[in-house]
Amino acid sequence: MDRVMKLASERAVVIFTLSSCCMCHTVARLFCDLGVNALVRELDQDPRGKEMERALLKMLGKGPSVPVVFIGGKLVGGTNRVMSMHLSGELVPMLRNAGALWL
Amino acid sequence: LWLGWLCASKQAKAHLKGNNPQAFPSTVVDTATAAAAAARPPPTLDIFPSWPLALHHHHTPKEGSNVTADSTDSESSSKNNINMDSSDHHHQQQQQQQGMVGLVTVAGQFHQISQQQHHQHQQQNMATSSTHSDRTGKAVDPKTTRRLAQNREAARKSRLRKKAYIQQLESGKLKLAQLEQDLQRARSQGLLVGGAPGGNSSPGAAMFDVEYNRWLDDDSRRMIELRGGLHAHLPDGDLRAIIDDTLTHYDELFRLKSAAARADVFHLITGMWATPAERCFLWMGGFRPSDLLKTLAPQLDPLTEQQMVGICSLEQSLQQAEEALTQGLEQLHQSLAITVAGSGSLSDDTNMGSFMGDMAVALGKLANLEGFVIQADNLRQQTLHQMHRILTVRQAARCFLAIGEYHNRLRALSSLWASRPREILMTDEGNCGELAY
Repeated sequence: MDRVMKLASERAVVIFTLSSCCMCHTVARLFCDLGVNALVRELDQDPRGKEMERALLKMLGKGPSVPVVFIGGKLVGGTNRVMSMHLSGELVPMLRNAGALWL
Repeated sequence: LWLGWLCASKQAKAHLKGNNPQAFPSTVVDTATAAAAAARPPPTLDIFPSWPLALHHHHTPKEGSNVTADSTDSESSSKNNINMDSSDHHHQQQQQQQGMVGLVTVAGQFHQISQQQHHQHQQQNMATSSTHSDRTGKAVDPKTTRRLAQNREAARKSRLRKKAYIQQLESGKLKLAQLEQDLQRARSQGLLVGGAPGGNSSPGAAMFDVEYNRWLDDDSRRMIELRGGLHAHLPDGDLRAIIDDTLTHYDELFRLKSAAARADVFHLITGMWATPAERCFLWMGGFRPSDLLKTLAPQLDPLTEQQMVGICSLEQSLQQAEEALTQGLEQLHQSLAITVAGSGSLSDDTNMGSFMGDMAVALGKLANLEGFVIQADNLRQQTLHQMHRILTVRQAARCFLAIGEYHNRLRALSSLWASRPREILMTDEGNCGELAY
């Protein structure tokens, strides 16, 4: 959990993924298209990836465990949450506030 | 035992067919007459003494029913859709479900029939002598009287059975005609895919189709209510209640679709739940929300500047989200293709070892399709909610009416297409031929 939070604060936008997950690619692609330089952390490449995945699942409440997005070090949520926030217009202001977007 | 039955059946077939050529189809005759034939030499009721008690329960009542009332036979038969003679019905149903038990039952019935025919046979032998004695005025043998009575009884039973059989044929015909009519109506409404083999339909798909059709019925009722409310110039509060209801109704659709995605994602992704014209526009198991927005925007005028900004912003976010999903799905396709191709050479048949492993990995990847359909549905749902937020009550009413009507038109287009006259195509081909010169 601590490791998760530590890594989550490394950049304005951090996405935890698994290399085999295609939905993770979707979310990463969205931020890329928005002009955000998000940090992608592949859990299966991390020695403590398994326990981080468990911690993330606990934070989310329900699966899937990836992708999980942190903005400004704070938990935002999974694909569903990110997409909904983008449609409602909440995502971009949040990105600006975190310094992930300049325009 | 089986061989004996088969041999005996050939003899019995001729005998029975002589009496009742149409009542019993050959399959019945083949399997069951053997029992009758076997029973004929010593007429006993207990043909299979070694059979367990349960079968005897089936066995004995049937014998009783044959003698007492045909009405019970036809009663239970009417529950069955298949049009058959009462005894045939029992045979057919039980043969399929209970194998040997059915054969025992029919054996019992045919035993009865064979006994009656046996008596009739004896009758004919006795008849000449008994009638002769009747005419000459001599005393009639009481045994003969009894046999005559039994003969009349058997003939009466036979007539009743024939009547019941004909009645079932007729009701079966009616049912069939009704089913064909229903099927035709459903097809013309574009609700069914014409002639799709039954094996393609999974229980999840079938379930969803039923629920979706019910949802469509509900939807048309709501559209009527919405249109009525709009034209009646209801106060905003009342209209808002109807719109909220409509939105909740759409939420229900996405809940159904999400369950269907988990049960049978391919049913949704191939668009088999929708009509052909809707399938033209299919994107990840449903309509493409940014397209719908673009189509409907002109219908929403007049919009305030703030609303215009809101709609444009929604459209842009939608397009970005859709693009991201499309790219993710594209990556899934590539990954799946690589997995299916396998780690070795496809043209090398010594590669069977990796086959199951590759299949297992591919299965895992296929499962990801569910997530994409569910996320696409989420975009659709959020689009509707955002429209509701941006628009005024009356605008929202018009918007939802427009969405409903648009999809109605697509469905109507599908059924018109399905029933279009084909001759037009022929003339086109003719023209093309001429133009080639």
